[in-house]
Amino acid sequence: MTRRRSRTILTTVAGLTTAGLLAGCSAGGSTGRPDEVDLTVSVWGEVARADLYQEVLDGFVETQDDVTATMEFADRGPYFERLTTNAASRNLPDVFWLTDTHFGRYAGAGALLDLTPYLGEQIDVDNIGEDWLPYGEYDGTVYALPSHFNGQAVLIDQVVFDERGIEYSAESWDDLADLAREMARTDEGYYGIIDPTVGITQRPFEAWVRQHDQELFDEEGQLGFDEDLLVDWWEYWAALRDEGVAPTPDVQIESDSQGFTNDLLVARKAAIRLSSATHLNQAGVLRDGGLALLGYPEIDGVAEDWRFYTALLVTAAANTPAPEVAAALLNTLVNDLESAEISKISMGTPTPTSVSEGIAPLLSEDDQEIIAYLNEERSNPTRPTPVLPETSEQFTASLTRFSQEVAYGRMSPAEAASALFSDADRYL
Amino acid sequence: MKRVLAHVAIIAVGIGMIYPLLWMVVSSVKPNDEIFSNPGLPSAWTLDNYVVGWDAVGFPFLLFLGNSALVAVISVVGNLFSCTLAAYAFARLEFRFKKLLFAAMLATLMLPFQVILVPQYILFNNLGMVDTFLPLLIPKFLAVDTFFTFLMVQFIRGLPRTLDDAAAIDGCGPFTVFTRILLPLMRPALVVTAAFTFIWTWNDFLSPLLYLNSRESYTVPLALNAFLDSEGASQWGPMFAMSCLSLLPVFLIFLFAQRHLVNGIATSGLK
Amino acid sequence: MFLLPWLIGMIGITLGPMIASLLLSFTDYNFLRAPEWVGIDNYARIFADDPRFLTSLGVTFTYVVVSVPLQLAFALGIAVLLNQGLRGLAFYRSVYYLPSLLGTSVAIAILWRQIFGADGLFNQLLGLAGFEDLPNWIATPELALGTLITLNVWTFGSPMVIFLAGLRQVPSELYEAAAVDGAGRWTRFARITIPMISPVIFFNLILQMIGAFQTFTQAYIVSGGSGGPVDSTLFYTLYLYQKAFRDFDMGYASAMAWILLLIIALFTWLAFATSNRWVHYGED
Repeated sequence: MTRRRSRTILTTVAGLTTAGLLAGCSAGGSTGRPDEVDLTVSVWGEVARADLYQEVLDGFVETQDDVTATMEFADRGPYFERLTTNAASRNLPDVFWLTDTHFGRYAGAGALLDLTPYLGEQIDVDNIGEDWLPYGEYDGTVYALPSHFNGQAVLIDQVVFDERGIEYSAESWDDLADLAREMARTDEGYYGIIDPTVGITQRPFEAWVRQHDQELFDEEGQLGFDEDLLVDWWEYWAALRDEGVAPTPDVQIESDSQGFTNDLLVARKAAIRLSSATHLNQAGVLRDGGLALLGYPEIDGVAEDWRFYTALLVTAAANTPAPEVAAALLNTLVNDLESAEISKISMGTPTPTSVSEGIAPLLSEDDQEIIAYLNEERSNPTRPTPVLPETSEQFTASLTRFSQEVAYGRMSPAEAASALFSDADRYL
Repeated sequence: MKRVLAHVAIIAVGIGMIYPLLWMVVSSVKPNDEIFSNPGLPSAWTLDNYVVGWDAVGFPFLLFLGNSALVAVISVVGNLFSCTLAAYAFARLEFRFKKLLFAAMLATLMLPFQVILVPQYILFNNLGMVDTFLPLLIPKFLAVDTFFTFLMVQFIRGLPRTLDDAAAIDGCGPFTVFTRILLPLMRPALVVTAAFTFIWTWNDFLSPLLYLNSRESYTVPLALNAFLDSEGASQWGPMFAMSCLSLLPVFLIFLFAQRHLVNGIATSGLK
Repeated sequence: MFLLPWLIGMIGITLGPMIASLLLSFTDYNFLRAPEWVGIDNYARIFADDPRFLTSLGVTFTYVVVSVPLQLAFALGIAVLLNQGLRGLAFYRSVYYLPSLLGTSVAIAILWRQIFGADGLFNQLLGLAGFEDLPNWIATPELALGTLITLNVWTFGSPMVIFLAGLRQVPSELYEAAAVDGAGRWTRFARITIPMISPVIFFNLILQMIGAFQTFTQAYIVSGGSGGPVDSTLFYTLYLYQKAFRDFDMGYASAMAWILLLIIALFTWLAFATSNRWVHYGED
């Protein structure tokens, strides 16, 4: 804690008003590591996950001389709130987790450690692979490592498909809609497919956009897709909603409200869900399995490199007093097989193939299926998304809000799309 | 007959009041997979959630209850001490800029806390107090909870001023008037302050989140949050079980306090 | 001397951060970089170019106007009822306070869905009464705010307890004297109780009003921080919070905070200005 205190820098304004009380001093770049190091490590999630990473951290500390480490954790919302507050006080944890949504903001502000000096030294680059390193780059410099990744996938209730004697097959988006119609039992309140538009994540829309060889955001941080693409997307789902194949927005929003707890697939009230690969585990645990992981519908011959996104970026604070130790810990989190055997796939699939294949035998059937699915998809090329603009979360929230406007029938898809684009001019 | 009706009315409203609570208590003794799928009574009663929840956060839950109790009790002492002093000054004494200072005090209530969170954190961080209980406790001794100061100002102003005047004629200074005359009469307000301080501190999530990092210093709300995973599967059963458990002390405190609230006046000699 | 701890706290802990936020409201500040002075730009953006600001004001005003009188009336009514000599009242008092103990806990989001969700208790009761095609109250934009108002009324424990404390301060001989004069129950309530506890009513009114303007935790928990569906529960402070901690626009959020302070101050001033007509202090 004393060390944490020593690297405080006052923000100008707070300094002006509270200067009388405070004796702030800035810690410059440190050269050479101090004799004793106490790392603060911060992760998000519930206690079961935190325990796994505590074990990883304990293992790491044992390999180091004169290093101690403290880990803190909180659910994701509070985690980022605390991180923001820490950042404002130049008191970031030494090593911590980020998502792609926050990466650009922290990297752009110079809050993250430039990892370049440690690549090939403490950090084993070859193991991670050239394809993956760019996911942690900002302006051509590596500030974070993509320790885990995840992929777009479709989850289905295999039990119901088997009962009805239907084979899942959906090459195109039209196939998917037809299959959902076939699976729905509108009179019994059983839905063919879950509406992915009104919830808080917008990964399915991201897949839709990238399949069209576009991006949510371009290199300049402006919207990188056509307005028509969004209109088509909303019209696609509006049609399924109108037929009762996808749920009405009130049903959908309620089921989205508590993670997977109330999910319609978990409650056995829907047959198909556009998802991420790791959801097989998260949803499967809650309903005793019976789910299957399958490929997305595609748009023929347009793009093959749309599938993956980073589930987790691990990074270090720019002002950590022991950057070498922090870099070594980052390497452990990404590359160390023994550590991965403890943390398993709690955060997605480990990026290095050697690690993900190395831990596979230890995993549950569902988890093995996730890794097999993602490794198979890895034969496809990858396309790192451009670094998200600082206000990307505002866009996501706005997309959700306008999707709800459409779903509740308060706006037509075309009206909502043009409103979203003009709204985006305010913050992008 | 009238009494029976009154009881029936009170009980009917009461059931509506505590339905969510009953739901939580019942859920806490259900097998995990029945919590959301079975709205009625559990198929089998189980204390598993209590057993699992007690140790799940790495330390026995008793530690978190203890931390919360420690913070809450010291906060009560702090608020009782500092808020009564300030309230007495505002209600009874004359000094320069009184109106201005009073307005300033009320203004602190009106600014949303969200915007002073970060500057306050910077302040305490620079004082080296992060990961200690101090940032949670120090403000209580400095009458930062305007709610209670204002509450007591209103109560003191409700008391007849003739009492002070009589005492002053007998030669009592302001301090004696305060401790001998007013404090005993303010007992209901003091009990309210103590009870609310305890309960609100007990439930506070945001300040402990920012200022307490290591698990051994967690308070109850932080420990409860450790069961939640907004992206995946939260451990609702243990969460509800420990929630019920942590409601017990505050409920007892309230039961105790309200008795004093009722008896307080009888012995206070207002007659 | 009595004021000393308060003065230290005010200047040291409250005033510094308050002034910091006032200054920040004239800057562009994203927590990570040093604040940059932009003059009244934030205020200009709020008033000229932010439809969601108006939405959040609307939601908040509706909430204040509806829920504060309802909650206070409820709290006072129950407090008077519980102040009678009925047996077992200690127990009831505690039971009625229970919801307030839960009011800000994370479990409330789940509990509230158990009541106002599509298959919730409320709909089951209405179903028994013969109603059909019942809505999902929480996830319907037109109704969601109503459930939060209900939640606020439901947690009426704090003002109730303060009313009780106030009622306890009313000297009983006043009632006895009035009863001798032949005053009925309602007359005694209107002529003795209300005037005698008017400082406490005033306190509750001011504090509940300020609290309602700043409603945050319950709205945050129930909507998961989104203010949805479609901004129907986008409370002012929830929007402010989104601006600060989701969008990292602390300058903008600070400006919003000071606008809210002025709004609340105006209403509080109005309440104080009219208070000498109906609030009676023992010192008069």
